[in-house]
Amino acid sequence: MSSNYAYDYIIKYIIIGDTGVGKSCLLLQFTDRRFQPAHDLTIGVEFGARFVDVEGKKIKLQIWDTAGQESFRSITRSYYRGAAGALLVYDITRRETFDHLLIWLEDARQHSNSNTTIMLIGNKSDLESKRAVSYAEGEAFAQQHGLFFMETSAKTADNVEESFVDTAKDIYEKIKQGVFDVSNESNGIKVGGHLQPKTLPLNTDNSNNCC
Amino acid sequence: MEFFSRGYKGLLGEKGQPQSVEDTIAKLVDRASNSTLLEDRRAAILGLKGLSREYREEVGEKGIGTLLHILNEDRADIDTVKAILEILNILCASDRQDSVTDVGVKFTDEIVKNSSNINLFLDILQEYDFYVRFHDIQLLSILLSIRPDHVQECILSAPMGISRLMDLLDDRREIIRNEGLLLLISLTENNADIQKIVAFDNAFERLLEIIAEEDGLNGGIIVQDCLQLILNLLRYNVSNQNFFRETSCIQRIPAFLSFSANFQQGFELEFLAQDWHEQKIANTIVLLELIKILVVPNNMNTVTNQNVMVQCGVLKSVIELALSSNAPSPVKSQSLYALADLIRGNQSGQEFLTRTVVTVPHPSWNQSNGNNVRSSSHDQIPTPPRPAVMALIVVAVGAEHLESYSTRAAATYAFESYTFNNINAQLGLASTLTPPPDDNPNSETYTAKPQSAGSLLLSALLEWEDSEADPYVVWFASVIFLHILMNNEKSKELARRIFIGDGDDNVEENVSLLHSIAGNFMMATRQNADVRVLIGYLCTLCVWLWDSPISVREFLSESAYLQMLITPITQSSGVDARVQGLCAFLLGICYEFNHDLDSQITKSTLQPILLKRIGFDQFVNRITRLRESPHFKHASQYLQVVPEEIARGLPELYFDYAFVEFFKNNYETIQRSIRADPNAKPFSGLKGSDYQGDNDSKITSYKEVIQTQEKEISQLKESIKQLEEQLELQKLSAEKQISTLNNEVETLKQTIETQTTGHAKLEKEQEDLLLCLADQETTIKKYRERLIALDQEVSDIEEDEEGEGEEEEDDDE
Repeated sequence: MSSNYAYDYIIKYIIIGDTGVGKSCLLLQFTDRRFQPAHDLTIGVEFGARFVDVEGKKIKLQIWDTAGQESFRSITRSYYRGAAGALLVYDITRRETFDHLLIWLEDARQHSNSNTTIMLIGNKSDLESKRAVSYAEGEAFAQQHGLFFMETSAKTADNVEESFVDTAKDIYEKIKQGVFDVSNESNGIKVGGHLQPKTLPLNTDNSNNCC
Repeated sequence: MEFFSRGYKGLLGEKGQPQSVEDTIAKLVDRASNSTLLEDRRAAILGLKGLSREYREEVGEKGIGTLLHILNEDRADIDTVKAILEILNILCASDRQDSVTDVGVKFTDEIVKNSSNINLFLDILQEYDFYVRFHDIQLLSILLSIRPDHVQECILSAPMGISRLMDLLDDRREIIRNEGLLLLISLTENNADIQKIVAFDNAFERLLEIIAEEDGLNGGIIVQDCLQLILNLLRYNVSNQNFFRETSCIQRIPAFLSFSANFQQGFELEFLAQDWHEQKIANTIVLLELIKILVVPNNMNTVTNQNVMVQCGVLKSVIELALSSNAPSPVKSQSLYALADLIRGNQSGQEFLTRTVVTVPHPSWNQSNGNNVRSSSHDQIPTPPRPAVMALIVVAVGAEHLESYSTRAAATYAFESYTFNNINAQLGLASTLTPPPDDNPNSETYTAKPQSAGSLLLSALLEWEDSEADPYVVWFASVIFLHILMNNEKSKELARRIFIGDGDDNVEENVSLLHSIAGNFMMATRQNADVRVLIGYLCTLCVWLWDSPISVREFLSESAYLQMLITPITQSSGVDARVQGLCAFLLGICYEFNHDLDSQITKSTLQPILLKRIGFDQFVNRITRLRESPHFKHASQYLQVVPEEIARGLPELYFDYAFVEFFKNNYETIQRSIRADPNAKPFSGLKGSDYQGDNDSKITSYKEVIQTQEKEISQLKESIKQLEEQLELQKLSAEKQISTLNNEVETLKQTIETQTTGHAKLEKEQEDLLLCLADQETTIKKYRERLIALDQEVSDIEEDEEGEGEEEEDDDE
């Protein structure tokens, strides 16, 4: 049973972006592999979790799905600093959600850890006929601001897995390079027990008792 | 001291006379805001501090704005900051008497009206100095207690606010950590957003670590505070509950609760003889509360949380605490309630309880050490371990030594949860219902007779003669028994087969259990037994006869019982209204489910009696009065009673909530039914008088078939769901496989293609070579012909030529 709960790393994500762009649906698709077309408006922040595998490492993603409404903005800010990954989502069928990206980005840059990996996501790629933001525009924006970019569909699950996993890959890469201070959990990363440097004396008797 | 003397000296009037207080304060405020030197400002503030206790209102009126301003300006100076915070604390501390005239409230409003002040206090938390932190936390706590909504909002809108507060938990100075903890507790009481941010900042992990460091439940009040904070974060907060579970925090609970990790020799003594000091009791109760919060009946998360708790051993620990430990009564009650919610409607939890066997606590363990030594040498014959379900009944009916009423009520509730949606448990228990053994060969050595759960229950149920001392023996037994029967005809059938007798020799004297209960009710009524006994018996009969025509037939076969019900209904005084109501309800059930199975009392004979002897209005009124009686209306959902330390005397527990629900759902049908034509179609869809008695058993068997089919259907549905899930998974993996295979095919195709081209090339080459060969052969032929023409000897093979050449050479030699 214990192997179910064993992890190599825990990484905290937040999902941000305007209201109605599909943040909660992305999370639901990722954690439960299902799509709920009529999702209630998120109030405050909701939590979800899932394991992913990166280079053979078991990484547990803890994801906080935030409310996009303006009135919750100040609450959402409290989550930036403690997250190692942020998914910034807009809706490809609603131009204004793309236009607001700069505000979101500014907010994120101001309140988050400078090492936070940000993935820009153009959601609802299944609604090609209603598209209002081209792929190239999204890509250009991401490039200009040093973000990763992907178009996804929470409905068909297209690229959903990839967007979460690719973000994790980048963060893992940063961990390997020592960019994060992983001993400080407030950076949004926690190292699994067995990977932690052993500072305790190797007294097997003691360790047996306390575990 | 120097500051003081300097400060005050400057304040004396020109001739050295003291000034009025108002002038002094005004002067100090002026100096604090206008002096250019830090020391002067500081001195003025210290002066104000000296006056602030005695002249609180004056200092506040004149100085609060200045103080806040300087706090911001002179933040770097620890002494100034410390002093200002202290003054603000004094100014805002509420007298808690009248909030309208309270100056504390006034000054608090003054401070919180500007949210940047709160931000400033939050920023100051970064200062490491002990007193600065201490007073700062205190100030925030005071402000929060007076204007909670406003302060919560300010803290929420400060992006780093909660992180700052959370950092206090890491402070090595205990006082700071504890004060911070208290502040967080009041901050998280009712604001879900703050709760989530606190959880996001790793609160669960930090708090669980502190608890572990502080020796778990044995630890001091800090443990209680940590648990309280966790409780606040989880209560009504589904997102945080998910987070708590997903971060494997539930798995850490069992270690706090018990030693059961090493359930070996030595365990029992250690576990059973724990020292339950007051703080430990408080800690344990909060932890049990925490468990209950995660498994509140009918919550979205409950089933998932229950499963995790069953799996990781929380349930096991709670069972041990409830049924095997020497815990004091409040802890036992709480653990039984927790046990109830852990298994309610959860199959795996219920099955776990069925399988569990518990050690039996000895009463002497509850006593002090001195007594313990004395008794252990003498009468401590260990009782063998017994099934946990039986132990629940033992506690509920007080079979061995009397636990408190609240503990017994909790055990009864736990039993209810065990049978809730659990037909197997009902049947399993019904099958152990055997008359208690009269004669026990072991009674010399054992004080308790070796009994099954069922026989224990039966003897408690029928022992109403002792009810003067404790009517709850019968009452709890009734509640337990009716939950075995509820909506389960199979259980009722098993119960109908039980006969209670004085001696085995005379079978005719044996009386069926149904008749025994009815007879007991009759006797108890005559002898004015406690009303709880009467209510207990009547509720049991109602549940038993409901929707069970065979049971109704058996009940009515003794005509005295009909009279027994009619008498109290028609009596105008001297009978408890609740008893009257239940009698009317029971009578109605006898009518409704009377399918005239070859009995003397048919619907047609019954109706005139009902309508004439009792009268429709009276009948309806009796039932309605029961429905509206306060104890009935306010029946506790979780069978909770006021602890007797407070209540003094018997608890006011008369009705089980499940029975109340059952009654509410059905009383209108019963009220209507007695006016219905006796020959009309009865409630349960069966025909009235025109069918034979044995039809009934057929119907019962059909019902059973339907029941089993229904069960089967639901099982099949479940398995379909599982299969669908499996299929989905397989589909996914298959799709993955297909795509890899496709890739493989693609690569293979490519390989084949390259190899085909290679092959073609080789073939062509070979052809070319063959052509070349043919060419050469013709050439050879030509040359040969020429050689022949030149009259030379020619052989077919070149080697031969060579060989011949050699030979020629040999010849030459």
